[in-house]
Amino acid sequence: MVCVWNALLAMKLKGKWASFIFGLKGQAKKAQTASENLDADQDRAALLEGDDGDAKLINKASENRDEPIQDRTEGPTPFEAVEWPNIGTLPTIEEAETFPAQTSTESGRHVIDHELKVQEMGMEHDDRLIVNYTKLQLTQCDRQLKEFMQLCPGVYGALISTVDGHELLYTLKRDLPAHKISTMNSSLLALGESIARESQQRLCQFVILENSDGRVVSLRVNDLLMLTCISSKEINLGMLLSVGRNTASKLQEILSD
Amino acid sequence: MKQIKFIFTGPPGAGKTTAIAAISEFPPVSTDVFSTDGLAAVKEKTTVAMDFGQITLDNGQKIGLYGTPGQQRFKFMWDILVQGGLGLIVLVDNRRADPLKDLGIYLDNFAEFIKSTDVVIGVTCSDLKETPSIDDYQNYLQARNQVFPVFAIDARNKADVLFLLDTLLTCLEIS
Repeated sequence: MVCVWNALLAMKLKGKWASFIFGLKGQAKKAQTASENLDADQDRAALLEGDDGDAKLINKASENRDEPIQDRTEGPTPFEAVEWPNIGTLPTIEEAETFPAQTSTESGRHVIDHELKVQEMGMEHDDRLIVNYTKLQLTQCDRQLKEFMQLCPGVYGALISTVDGHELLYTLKRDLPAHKISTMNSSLLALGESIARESQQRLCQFVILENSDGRVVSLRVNDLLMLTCISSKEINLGMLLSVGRNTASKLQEILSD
Repeated sequence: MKQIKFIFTGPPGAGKTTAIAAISEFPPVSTDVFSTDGLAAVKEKTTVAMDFGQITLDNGQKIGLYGTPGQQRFKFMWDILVQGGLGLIVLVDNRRADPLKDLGIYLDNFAEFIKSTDVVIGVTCSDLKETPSIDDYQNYLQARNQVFPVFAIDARNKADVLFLLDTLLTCLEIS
């Protein structure tokens, strides 16, 4: 009996030492468990609502959009704009490599400008973006977003959007209005950059919203794109900024090819 | 003396940023970024948050000039910017497909604000496209049971923009 008790005590102590020594690992595991719980909760909620899980929580751009305030001025769109692939249907990198490049390394912005000039002007203008990237680039960006979310357990949203407020790619673990978030963060980032200029400071690196139960961090990827990270307080700010910056750099690298 | 706040609104490319820059006594604060949608065909950059400039009247009264983004997706900024505003200047680009409809959209979206203040309308680029005429705008407003001053202006011209402000101040004094 004494032997059994001693053995149990020894195991308990060993466990404490192990968690002391491998505290970080323990934290990471805790974070992972919390993340899994979050996912499980969402799955459950999705099932209750008749959805089929995360797949439907991701990239539902059309459902996230506001209803138009009034009818938009209808007009023909005589140019052939590139249809942006849905994240859910993005090919793997291996598959994407076999696709013909849409405009290769050329900037679509300059390639189709001429054709756009005959476009009928509507109030909101054509939502189809003229920034132009290959499917391979988009797939790699999507992979970067997912890696970012894996590295930062508290992050439940990562969005790449244009600096004028259109979402391009995003991964969300919660049902968030990606379109609104993209638009509002574009305003916020632009304001942040203006305030930095007016304060005679250079290079606004991050715009950070510190809230009671989470953070929203926005930063530029390049001249046309920005990254928005939405996290709980599970991850510390330094880690979020560091991984966010690294991800933005990798995205910039991918998109500059 | 409390600063008066005037708001410039209107479709993208109508000349809001230009008008504020034309009269502001310091280089206006702008939040312009590259356009990445169909608007890029019309202009390279677009305002995504606000423009801000200032002008001081002879009596020392300062007027803050706030420009809204034109696109409807930035409506949340419209709602923020009108808070504490005293007057609205709607600029309409006459080159667009349906400038009267554009005007109606802004008058509708700012209807609550307009109830408590006054509006003046500036029609830009009417030298490049003559129709609709100022009379057409007046008839359109009349059909909506609204009466607001409408002028053809050049947003780059300081005198034209100041004239709009003078008119708005006069309307506010009368009402």
